[in-house]
Amino acid sequence: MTRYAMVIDLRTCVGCEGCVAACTMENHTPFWHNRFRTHIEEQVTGRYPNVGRQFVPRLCMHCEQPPCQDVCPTGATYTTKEGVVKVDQDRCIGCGYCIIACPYGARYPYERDYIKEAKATFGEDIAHQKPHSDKCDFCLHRVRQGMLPACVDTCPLQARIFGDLDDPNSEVAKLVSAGKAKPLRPELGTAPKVFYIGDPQSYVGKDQQ
Amino acid sequence: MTLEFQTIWGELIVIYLFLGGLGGACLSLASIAVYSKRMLPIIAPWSGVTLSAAAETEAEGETESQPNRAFTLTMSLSGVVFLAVGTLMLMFDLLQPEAIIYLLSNPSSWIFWGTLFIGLTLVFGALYGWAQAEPFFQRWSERSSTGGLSKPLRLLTFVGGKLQRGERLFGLLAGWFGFGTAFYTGFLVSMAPSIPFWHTPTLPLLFLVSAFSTGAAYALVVLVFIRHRQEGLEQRIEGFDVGLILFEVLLLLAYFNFASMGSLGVQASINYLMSQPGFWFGALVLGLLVPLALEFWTLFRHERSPRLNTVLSLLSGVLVLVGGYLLRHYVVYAGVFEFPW
Repeated sequence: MTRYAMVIDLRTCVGCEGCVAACTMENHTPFWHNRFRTHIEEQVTGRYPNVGRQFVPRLCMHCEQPPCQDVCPTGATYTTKEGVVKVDQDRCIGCGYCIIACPYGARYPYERDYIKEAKATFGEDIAHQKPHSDKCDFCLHRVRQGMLPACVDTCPLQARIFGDLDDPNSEVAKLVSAGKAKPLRPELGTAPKVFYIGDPQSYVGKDQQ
Repeated sequence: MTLEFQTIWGELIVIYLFLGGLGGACLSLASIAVYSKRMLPIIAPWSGVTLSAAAETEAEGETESQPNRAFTLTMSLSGVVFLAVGTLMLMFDLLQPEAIIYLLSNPSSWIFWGTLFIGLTLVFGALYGWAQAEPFFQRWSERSSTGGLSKPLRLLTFVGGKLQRGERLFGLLAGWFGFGTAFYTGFLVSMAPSIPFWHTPTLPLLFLVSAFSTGAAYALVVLVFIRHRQEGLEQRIEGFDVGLILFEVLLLLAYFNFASMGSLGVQASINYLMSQPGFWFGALVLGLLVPLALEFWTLFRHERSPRLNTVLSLLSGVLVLVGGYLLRHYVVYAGVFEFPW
């Protein structure tokens, strides 16, 4: 079996937002409404002169027990055989329940107006033809063709590592099983498949380098 | 940790939650009022109806159920209208309503159960209302025997007469599914692990009690207008409502007691609520404490002035309805996401 996962190294992310731009172009997300599938959270910690700046890339965690999938009434949210949580645009009614239920803020409403605007921006052949609740799908259309997700491909510092958790030789499997990369909010029991090296809530430069 | 107020669910959902609870409770109360008089002394012992008195009135059968008809008919039809309008609000809120054909796909979602409960409540509530309206249709059709309306009225009377055979069953089913609808609204909101203020075991209970309290308040308003047909029911409902409001106050105390020492997200929600006069003055003082005092007064001093009692029970009914709406409004808007970065 394949279980795609991602490790994000907070020690190396410099917040260049290259991943955000690559994802936006690849997945036609409505950036003009400040809506993204992946985004960089910027945290400033401490007080002058002891300050730190932390960049935390966020995206769908592709949980093994996804609350968004549990609450979806139409079955529009489903998990693919590769363990990727995906949305079927044709089935999504856009009730917003999944957006409310997601503990990681990974989803946003792709409204009817956005489609028109996206067509004017990216051309007619866009990934969104119907209004729905949108989220990251690990660029499954690229991955199935042997490519990496756009954000991983573009990251100049290789802060994002993508691979198969079920392949013990993959870098993600090694980092996760060694305990170096950890999921966010494991206490919720959602079993995310996106892991972080470093604590998103504290400046990693101080205590982890 | 990052705290972020939710902006996904707004006023349309608030209206839906309010009308869903109210409509479900109206049908449940219409059902209880006719078929379960024996339940009143148990669910509302302060209403002054004893078990033996309830058994006596039940034994009277038809003579007792007849004057209830105007009340139960108004309650069940109002319930159906409230639910239908609430569902319409939900439809307006959807991004892609044309995909609702897939609505019953996932039983682990509360919306699945909500759809089922609302649908069945609407169907059985309408059938129940139709069966009860049969005598009214008959009277109208006799009066307008020559007018253009006589044919449709005769058809309504005919079908209503047929439906009367299943009236008890329709009422019972509408009542139970109405209960399910009122109950589900709280479960719907509390299934949000990222919004700690909503994600509590108390919220579904609070919404249920508040739904029945607004249902009882609406019944009080209805009884002001059809009073001459109905003896004694007003006091029973008032007694029931007093108990519900007291329970609601206790639930709110438990809720806030838990939340005041809760996580940062919960505290942000509480701070928001306390900064809103619409919540603490509107929902708590005007929507709960004032009607509680008014209903207590009319319940125990009802012999003094029937006219004043009518005004007070109308006032407390309206206040509880407004309070129930404000409670849902502020609970929904106080939802704060707790993100782990």
